[in-house]
Amino acid sequence: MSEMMMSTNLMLALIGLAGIASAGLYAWRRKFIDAVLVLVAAAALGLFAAGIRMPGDSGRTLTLDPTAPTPTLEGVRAFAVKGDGLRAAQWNDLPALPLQWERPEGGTLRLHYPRQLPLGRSFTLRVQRDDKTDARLQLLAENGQVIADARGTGDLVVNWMPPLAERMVLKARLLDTGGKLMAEGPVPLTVIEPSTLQVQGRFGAPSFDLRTLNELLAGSGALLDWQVVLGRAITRTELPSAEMKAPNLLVIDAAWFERASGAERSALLGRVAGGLPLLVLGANANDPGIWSRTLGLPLQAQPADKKIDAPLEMPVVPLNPAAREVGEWTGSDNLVWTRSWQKGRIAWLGAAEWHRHAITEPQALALWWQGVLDRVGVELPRQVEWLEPEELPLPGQRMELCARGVKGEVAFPELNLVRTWAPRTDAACVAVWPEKSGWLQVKDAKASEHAVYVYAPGDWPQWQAAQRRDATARYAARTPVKALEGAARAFPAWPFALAFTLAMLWLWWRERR
Amino acid sequence: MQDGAEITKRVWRAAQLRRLPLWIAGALPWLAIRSAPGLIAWTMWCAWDWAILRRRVGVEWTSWLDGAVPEMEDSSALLEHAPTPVAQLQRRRILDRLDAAVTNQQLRRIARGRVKAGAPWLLGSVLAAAAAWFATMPAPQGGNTVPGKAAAAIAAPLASELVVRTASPAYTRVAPSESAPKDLQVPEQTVITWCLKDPSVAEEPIEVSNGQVLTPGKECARWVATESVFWRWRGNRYTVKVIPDQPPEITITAPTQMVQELPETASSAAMGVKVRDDYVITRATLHMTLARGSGENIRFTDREMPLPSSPDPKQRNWSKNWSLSELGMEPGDELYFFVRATDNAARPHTVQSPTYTLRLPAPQDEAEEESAAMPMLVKPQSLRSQRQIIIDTEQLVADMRSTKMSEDTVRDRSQKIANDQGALRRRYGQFLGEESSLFSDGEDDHHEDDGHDHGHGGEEGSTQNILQAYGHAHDEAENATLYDEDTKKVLRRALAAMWDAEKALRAITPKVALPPEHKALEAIKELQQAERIYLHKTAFVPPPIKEEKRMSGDMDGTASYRREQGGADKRVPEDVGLLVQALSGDGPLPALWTRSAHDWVRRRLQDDDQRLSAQKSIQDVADGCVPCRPVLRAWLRHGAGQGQVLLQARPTVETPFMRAWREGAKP
Repeated sequence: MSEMMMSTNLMLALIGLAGIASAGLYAWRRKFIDAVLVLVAAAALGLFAAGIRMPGDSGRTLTLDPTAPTPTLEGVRAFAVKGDGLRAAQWNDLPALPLQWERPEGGTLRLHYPRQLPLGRSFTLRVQRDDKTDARLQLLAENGQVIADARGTGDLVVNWMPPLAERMVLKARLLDTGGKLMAEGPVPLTVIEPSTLQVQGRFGAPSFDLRTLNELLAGSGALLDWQVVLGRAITRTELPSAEMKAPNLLVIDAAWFERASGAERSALLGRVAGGLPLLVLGANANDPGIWSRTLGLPLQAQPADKKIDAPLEMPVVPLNPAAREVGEWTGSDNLVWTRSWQKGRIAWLGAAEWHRHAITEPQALALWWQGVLDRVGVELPRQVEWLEPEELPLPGQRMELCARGVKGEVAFPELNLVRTWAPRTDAACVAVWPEKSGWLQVKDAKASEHAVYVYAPGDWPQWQAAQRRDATARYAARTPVKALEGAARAFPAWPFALAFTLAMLWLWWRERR
Repeated sequence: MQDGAEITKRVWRAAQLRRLPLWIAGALPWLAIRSAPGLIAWTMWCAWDWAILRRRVGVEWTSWLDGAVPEMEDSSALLEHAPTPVAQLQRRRILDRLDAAVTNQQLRRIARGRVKAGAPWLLGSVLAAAAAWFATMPAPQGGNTVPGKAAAAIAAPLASELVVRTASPAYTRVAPSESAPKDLQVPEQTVITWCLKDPSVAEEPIEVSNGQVLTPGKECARWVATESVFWRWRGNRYTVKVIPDQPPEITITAPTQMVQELPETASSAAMGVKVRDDYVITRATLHMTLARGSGENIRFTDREMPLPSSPDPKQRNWSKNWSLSELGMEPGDELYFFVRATDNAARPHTVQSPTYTLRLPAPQDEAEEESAAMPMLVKPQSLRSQRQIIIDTEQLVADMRSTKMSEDTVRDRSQKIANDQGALRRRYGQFLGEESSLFSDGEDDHHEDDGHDHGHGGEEGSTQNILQAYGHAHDEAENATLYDEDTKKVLRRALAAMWDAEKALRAITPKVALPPEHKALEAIKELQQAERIYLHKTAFVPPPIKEEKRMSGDMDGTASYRREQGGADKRVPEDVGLLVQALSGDGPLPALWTRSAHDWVRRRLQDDDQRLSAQKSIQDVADGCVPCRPVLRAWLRHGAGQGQVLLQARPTVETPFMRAWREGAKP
């Protein structure tokens, strides 16, 4: 590039030099008109060689219409769009060009909720609003009965526990203080069967806490292999109601670990190293030495009346790690410290006496325990996970369906369509154009049956507007308007060539005369 | 002239008679299609035609007569107007002959000849009516021109085919009814019968929303109304709303308090009872129990007295001012009474009022003797609850505001409440080991007797705790009882509040006393909810210890056990779960699904409207309505209530990317 620039400059200098020299010679011979002609010819040649580019854009600006298909893009050097802009799927079909767009203010709504939920977890619908007025959010079942209700300013949240595993389309409704409808639309939800726990419990002493935990787990349909040592030779054993193929959680209490023989301990830790999570109930820990020796967990005596208040009031166990971060161990708010142990994890639960809440607040207690289990990292490997579409699927619009852990082909029976999964970084996606609103069945050989809800074009207009604005803003950020300034149109070269030729011809005519 | 006028009239009548059939016949098509505008138009045409005819007859009748009757000698015009004497002579001649010459028959003939029957007009009318009929007729179904007529046409055969009879139980005094199918509102236990007028027609079932199917045939279908339902016959739904029989309602108007203390000098006691029922009260009785005696020696006497019925069977109002001798009450006795009432429902409702107590206080000295032996039984009357004290105080405050009470009355009442408050405080103080004056009688004499002054407790022991300041520490307070520190704290709080209240009451500022009174009540409630305070009252007898076995370390008789784990409680029965799954699609539903759905709905949906809606959706789905399936699903889900939290693992997906990421992250 610089070489080219240099050669151009050299050429220009030579032309200039030749022009000035010729003009000087003519002037010396007192032929001033010829001198001027030479100068003009040299200037024209120089400009011709320099290839002047005029600032400003070339080509035209196309105003996009969100509803109509894009016309030909030939000669289009920029886009303009009015209102909320286009959907992400539409932008993805367009080349990256500068965009003239003014983002409208206000009037949008964003809904956040899981499209798929295991039974036994709480469904949460959050409505994010632009305007901060007092409003009321209702969640309605298909029969028009209100099943959850919330009111307030700003963002609104409703919670609901689905009682059955099924696929449903609920309805959400946003009302203002006067009861006037502000927005209403479908909330599709698929409740799937939960992934059951398979728990092995080994305990050195009975307690009410253990019994409560046992009941909670049994009530959740978990398979339990539960052994509580009562005395030297007395053990209470509970057998699983079905065969336990692959336990996904080990629970012990501190007393069992402290009393276990070295062989038992190493066998346990060996299993943990193989990839099982282990939860230690710290309430009856007695010997800090053992814990720091075997697991690198430095325990420290806690003040007698220390307790946590939220979400449930519970006393802290007598021996707990001294700080939130101790060596390999990382703590959390709900008094769970965890560390990884080769492929598995070990967790220390530093709270006790949860049985006090078993009768008064069973729901809150179960939620707390679910939090503990999630923190411990009790996981059930699955083959396939469906990802939620980033944009509301609409009939006639391209929809991107992504899943993790899939490959090969996927079929859409209603569309008579079979597609091949296109791999992405951590997922695979296919594009489909749904034909009508409602559930769109998806069949994959590896994954179980799945359905994506396709909204009607008129559903949640404010949410669609928000998504369009976001997509348009993303697109605009991709090609800033500044890029336009560098792109300039070439000034036509022929007038210079003509001027040069005419000047030279005239000079030649004068010379010949 | 007279005769001339008469002949005109006769001609005119004949002309009208000639035209009348046209007028009537022209109206008939419009009547047939029931078109009022057409009829009006025809009438107006007839009026116009009549006027034309009249003018024509007025002008032409003379020529008609002259043309048809030779005897008139072309002189009929003279009948109308005879200007000259000759003309008058001729007129008279003609008049003489007139009756003989012009018969009615002749006139009719004249009219027939001169006036047209108007068949074209008639034809026009018929054509116009036909055109109007075709224009208004609804395109596909023929026959009906007016919607009202159509509805009537359908209703008429219905009404004639199915008859609904209701027979309410006799006691409700609701007259039996008989009607065409319609929405009904009937009392509980009404017998509803559906009868076909013409039993020979094909049997069409009546589907009751609770899943029953009745088929009225030769015999009528019969159903006893126990719950609100709707029923369907020939695609129409009719609701039967059941008004449940309410249980009787008992109000005791006198005494006004649950525990009424009679003044010592009382010679009578008033009792007033009101019993109401929505239909008939069959039985209402007053049960009285008189308790006499003390200590171990308490005798009870029961009495049952029917309340007299009043002319209105729906209610019984009764009141009586008993003399104490009638009741058999003596000083120190207590009378407990309650009212029991029964109505006449098919399954009679029996209601019992709370028990009220009348007390006649014992003479002073007598009470003193007994106090040592059985304090709780003998003198509980001296204690009013904190709640009652609050009510009394509020009443006093309200009375002071609304009525002009003398200062003395206010002082008396305030002092009285203060005494009650003091007694209660001492009662609770006892738990803290205070020496109680409760059972040594007299609320007031206590502090005068023993020389302490509660009112200035603050001065006495300002550095001490509240108990010592306000209480009555004759002995080692804290050690005297078994309660733990927490309970004692609450007790102390209650006592302090009670003392504040008493102070304010004694200063005749009942309004100021209210906040501490409420505080005391709160503390008392807390005490009642604390389990430990009652521990010493329960009789716990530990099992006998085998001394020879104790501490021996011998574990005979104890053993390990193995059992199967507890299972999850199924909140939703399996058939309902399966049904919900099946309703998610549009495939076939499980066998006998209606029964399980009906059972579930009846058991779980208590609200009448909700249950009816759910039953309606069951019927819709059973009819094969696919869009109704989500609605039924929602109702079934509604019956299941809120779900419960299930502890579960978090599903994760191991993709090659994740694996590579994790392994790459590891050193």
